[in-house]
Amino acid sequence: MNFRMDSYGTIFWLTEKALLVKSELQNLLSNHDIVTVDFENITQITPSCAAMMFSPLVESLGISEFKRRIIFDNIDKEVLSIIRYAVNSRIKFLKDSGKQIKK
Amino acid sequence: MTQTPTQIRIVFPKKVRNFDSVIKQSLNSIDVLKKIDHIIFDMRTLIFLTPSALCPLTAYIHFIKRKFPNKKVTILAPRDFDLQNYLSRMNFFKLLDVDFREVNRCTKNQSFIELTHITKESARGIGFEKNFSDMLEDRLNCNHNFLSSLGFIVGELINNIIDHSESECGGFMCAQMYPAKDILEICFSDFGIGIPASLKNSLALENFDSNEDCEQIDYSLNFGVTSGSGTNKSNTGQGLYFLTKLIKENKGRMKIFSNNGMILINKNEHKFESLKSPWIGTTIMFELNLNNPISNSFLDLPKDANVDYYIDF
Repeated sequence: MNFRMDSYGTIFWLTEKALLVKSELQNLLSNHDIVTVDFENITQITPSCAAMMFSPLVESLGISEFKRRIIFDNIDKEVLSIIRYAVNSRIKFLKDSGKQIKK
Repeated sequence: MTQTPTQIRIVFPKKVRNFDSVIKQSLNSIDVLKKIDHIIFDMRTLIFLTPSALCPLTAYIHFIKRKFPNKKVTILAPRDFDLQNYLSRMNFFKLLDVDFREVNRCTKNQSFIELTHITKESARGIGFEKNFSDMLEDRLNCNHNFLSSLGFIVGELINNIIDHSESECGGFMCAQMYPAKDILEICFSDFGIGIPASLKNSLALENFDSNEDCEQIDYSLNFGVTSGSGTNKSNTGQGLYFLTKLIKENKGRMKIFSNNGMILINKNEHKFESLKSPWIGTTIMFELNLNNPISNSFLDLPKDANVDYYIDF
């Protein structure tokens, strides 16, 4: 299943919009095994936005299932770097707070 | 026994340059506000007002109108024609439902960003960030690194208002460029619970032993400090951290007023002050030097950050 991020805009600064994306991704994942997230035209994302969109999915699926079921396509290097950074910061925060994350 | 309606008139001086003056003019105690029936904001002799004063003033009047809908609020507009026109173009009258007939509005070559009301609803709009980013690009004559870093920080500060402030009526922001001085001034203001209260409601202050609001505000500038409270528990606590980094690299200036504390960052120096008239929410104002462009895009910073990588993409 292909999901185009630019259906929600090309710049993602705000977590309110990230919440909408997260819900849509959760819906798609409940009906499809693999979801390809197409980042074409996405130029900016904030760490809070990235964490809001993807960290809950890492938390619920676990690290290896997340990597198997969610594929990033057409992603800009800077945007990928921020997502990687934000999700890992969040995992660290959760681990430091005593929460276990499935591998 | 019938009570006589109480009326209070807040008379503005000729020039209001900063937030400190607004705070002195305001009645920031809910208990005091409750006892007043009619508040008059008398701006008739005002001839000059900076964005750093305009933004919290707007947030303050908006808060009163929203929190106490039965109170009468009168705004007596400045007599000065230029200031009237400026306030109108900044959307001050429109946002506060004041009837005012604007003479003209030309958005071309505009060196400011109008007062913007930040709410959850407005943040959900598909075009919100793009419009804002375009405004920054069109109106503020800055280089690409500067603009992308600024957009990144503006986004995170808006997230703080929406996700952490717990403000019933959102917040406000505006910006003004001063081409002659090569300075960009930006201000955010809300009437939420404030940074110290937000941190106290979470575990963020668990390992921090000061009860002073200004020291807690200073602590909130560190990497990864987040209350994780409010509606969004996924915040990463980086908005104020990156803003502080930007201010220091740019040799700019920033002031944060929240609850009973104020912190000023001027170049690399941090100064604290306890406020005699506390501010209910949070006001953040900063000045950036446009003639001192930053060397790298702040979007590159994650590459250098010391984060353990549990997952790679």
